[in-house]
Amino acid sequence: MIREAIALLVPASAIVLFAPSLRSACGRSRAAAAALALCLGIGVSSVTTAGLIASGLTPRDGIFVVTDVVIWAIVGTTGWWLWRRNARSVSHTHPPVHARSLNGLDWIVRLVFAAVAAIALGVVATSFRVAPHGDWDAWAIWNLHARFLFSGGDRWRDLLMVDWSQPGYPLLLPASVARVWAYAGHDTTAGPAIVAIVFGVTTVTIVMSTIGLERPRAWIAGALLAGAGSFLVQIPSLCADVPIACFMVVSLAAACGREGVLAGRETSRTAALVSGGAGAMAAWTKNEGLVFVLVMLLLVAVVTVRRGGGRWLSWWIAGGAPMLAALAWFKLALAPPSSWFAQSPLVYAGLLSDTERYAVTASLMAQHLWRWGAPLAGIIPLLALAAVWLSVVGGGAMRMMAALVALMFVGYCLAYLTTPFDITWHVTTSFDRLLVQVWPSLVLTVFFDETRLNRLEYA
Amino acid sequence: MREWTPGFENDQTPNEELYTLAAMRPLAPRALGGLVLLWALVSVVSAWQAAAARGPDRVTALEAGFRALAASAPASGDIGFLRHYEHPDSPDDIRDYYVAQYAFAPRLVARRTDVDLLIVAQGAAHPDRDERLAGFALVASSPEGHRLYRKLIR
Repeated sequence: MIREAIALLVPASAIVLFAPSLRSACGRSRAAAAALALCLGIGVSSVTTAGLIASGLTPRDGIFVVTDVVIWAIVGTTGWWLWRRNARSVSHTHPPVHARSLNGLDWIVRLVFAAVAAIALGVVATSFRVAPHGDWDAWAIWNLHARFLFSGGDRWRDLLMVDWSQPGYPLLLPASVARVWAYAGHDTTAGPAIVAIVFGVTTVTIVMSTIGLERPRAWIAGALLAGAGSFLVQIPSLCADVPIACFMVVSLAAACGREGVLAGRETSRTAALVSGGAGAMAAWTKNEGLVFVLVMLLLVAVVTVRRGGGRWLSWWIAGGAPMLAALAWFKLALAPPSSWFAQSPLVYAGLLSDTERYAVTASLMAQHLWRWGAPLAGIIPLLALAAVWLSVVGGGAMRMMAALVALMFVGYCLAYLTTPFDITWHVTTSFDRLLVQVWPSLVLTVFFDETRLNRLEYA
Repeated sequence: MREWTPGFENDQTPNEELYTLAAMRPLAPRALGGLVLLWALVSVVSAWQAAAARGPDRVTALEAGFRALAASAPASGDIGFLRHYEHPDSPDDIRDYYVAQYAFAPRLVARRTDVDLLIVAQGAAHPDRDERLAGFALVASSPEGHRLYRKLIR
């Protein structure tokens, strides 16, 4: 487990050295900076891993780890050198810290959160003990691809021939797991497990930090987020839905936070790079991430047009470009064409004009929306109503967050309406996991306090 | 967005107050927060009960069995997988095939018998005599009853 942890800490440390201002992107806390460094480190290192494998290095060989360490040492050293050089010429002035002592309510809220978090970790550990290979999709898709990447050598591309294993799925998760196995020396069940736990913890940390760790509502949001059984079980399932949820909420939080696209003169290059990079990492994780990155680009562009800030948009695109280039390479040069996009426009038109499909899709989605989070059902509709209300009476950040969740939902609906598979099977087997993807963003939308942005509260 | 100025904390517009939960009547946000925490506690305890009640994972046992056979196969190449003699497309047979591919990766496993190496999951071959295994010799078997065969050179 220690070697697997080192594999994740190496790129995270390099990213911290390369971007010391990382903590300002999502909530100005050290916890947020650590969480960001970990998840962005996994994302960026998955690209270098895919590149090394494509160039002929096999993660099973020792030279792979040496090369990986050298790459990250160069990144970290370069970043540290740049930071030292800039530190001499730029003086960083931080506003005053408003620290307040904790009252009884603060302690109660934090204790309940601690109880929820402890039980949640127990759920994850118990699930790993019973099913160390995760759910069906984990071993049939993600970790199967990781095994090809890890020990396939120059035949790693054979994974693209396993037609029932979704060979067109992007490589972020399999490449990350293969990289962790490289550090471990062999393919362990602990490898995917530690990656899954990091994404789960990071998601909760980012949401809480963005809301503001000094505020009780952040701890309530954290308890709600981590306590939802439907979300929680997806961590030990070892599938890609929690990782994509993590990247989505990181991108959203950086875009709507204090230094995001809405912040006028206070926008920061780091926040833009993080938001764009995380958005592209969502697309490099799973196909649904493509919808996300397009929706985010649309929202950022709309805000840019209305309020100015073309530089923020430019940095956002620059942040996402490396991941999107890797995705384009994989999708265009390697992956077999998706059955989804193989349909002709006439078929799409026929599917979209079939009113019965709308009725069936709406009915199935409504059932899952209501039951999600069982045994206490109805949490998603309740939060969705709250998000709509907040977007009506709130400011730009609230509207942007609510619009993102709503547009993702519209994207999911369109996907079901045009699916080449049986609708009932498709909705029943996937919609709960799609809701997991937007769950952190929905919680952030409802608990985010936009007025806090104007108050300069620093943890 | 307005820039920060000292004392801005008290300079909220009515609109901001309306949507800020903290600006509701004092008890309302606390009651709402308490309900949310209660929901989270009940939900996570329920998830705990479900996780604790989960039975043994069939895939884990299958993977261990197939993995033991994989040690006897070459590091690369194509391997066959024998379909169940009676229910060749049953969910169990398909699952066994998928798990075999997972355990034997990076080798490619296909559901055919015109190969040099053949995986036979426990119970897949006819219990009396399976004609599909004619011309194959047993290479390895796992304690779970899975077997690996190699085609005999004639």
